[in-house]
Amino acid sequence: MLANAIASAAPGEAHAEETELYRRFAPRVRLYGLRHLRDAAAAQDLVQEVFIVVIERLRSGGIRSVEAIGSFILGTSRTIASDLRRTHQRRERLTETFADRAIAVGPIEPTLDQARVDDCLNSLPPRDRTLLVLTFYAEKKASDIASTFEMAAGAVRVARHRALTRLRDCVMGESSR
Amino acid sequence: MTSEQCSRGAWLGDLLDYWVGDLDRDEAERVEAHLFECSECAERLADIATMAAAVAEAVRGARVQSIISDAVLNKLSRDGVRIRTYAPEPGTFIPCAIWPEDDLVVSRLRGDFSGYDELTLVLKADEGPELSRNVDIPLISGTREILTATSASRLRRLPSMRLRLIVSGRRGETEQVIGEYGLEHGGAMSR
Repeated sequence: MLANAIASAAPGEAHAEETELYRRFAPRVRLYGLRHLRDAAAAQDLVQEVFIVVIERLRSGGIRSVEAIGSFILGTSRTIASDLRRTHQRRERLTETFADRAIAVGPIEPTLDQARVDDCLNSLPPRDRTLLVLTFYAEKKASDIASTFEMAAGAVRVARHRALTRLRDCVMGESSR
Repeated sequence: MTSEQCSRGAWLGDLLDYWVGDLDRDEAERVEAHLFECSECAERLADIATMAAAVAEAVRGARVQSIISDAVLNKLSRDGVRIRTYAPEPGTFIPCAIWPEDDLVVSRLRGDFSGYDELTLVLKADEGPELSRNVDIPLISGTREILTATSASRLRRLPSMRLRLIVSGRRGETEQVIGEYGLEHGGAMSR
């Protein structure tokens, strides 16, 4: 196992294993950061800080249960994200006060054909479109959307899931089915 | 998406609910613990995150034609999207045009749209063909208006013409026109 190999090697000798551990878990830490910090740069900071701690602790034998490395990485992510959130909130307040808001907009995820997403979004049924706009742009929760459209929150969650599936199927084509 | 559950039995719907913040703390922590054990779900969540970012980008870029709410309109405005709004009264034509600085055009259609099983919005040339038809549009509760957003770049391509926005409602088997709203589209303007 990767974590075992790193823990049992001399410090810095398990370079390939450390790289593989990063490859497997860095995307998850980044997602955790995006979910909790809502900012791509802060999420990337989180990835770096978490892996500094994880690799150091593995090398020094400071992790008691290397089999549960995922759990340790998650715990470390929670602790560091909590610190970063406070820093990020201060930074956001400064940005809102002094900077052009348009510049603060997050980057586009690079892996999709944006023109195709635009076309697919515009081809969805009107309710699906509005639901996705409210969810992913206005960042409204199911309970907010439910009261906006006089629906049950559960029905919104089901409809939202169906709308996202339709969008993805359109964007990815038959290969996603 | 590919299937509703991962090979370890976690539900895809839970990942979406997690991503948009619709799970309580305990549920969210349970999903997070699963994500750090299950590479399949981690990839699925990445997929959701990518799609969510692309939707937000499409809206922010004023490239989505949609029924929206005032909350969306306010956020667009805060994001620097330049919005031109028209509010034609039922049964009248008002002049409209698209200016170079416009990103998005919003029509506020007022009327009593409540109590229908289904609402349909049609855009058509005054004496010509339908340009678009949106069946089963959502109605925001407690309001007496429909906000429809259209990309300015799309409208810029239309020649000068009289346009009608027609909202109809269906009750059971009966369909009736609720309101017709006229726009004297002057085409793309320059300053």
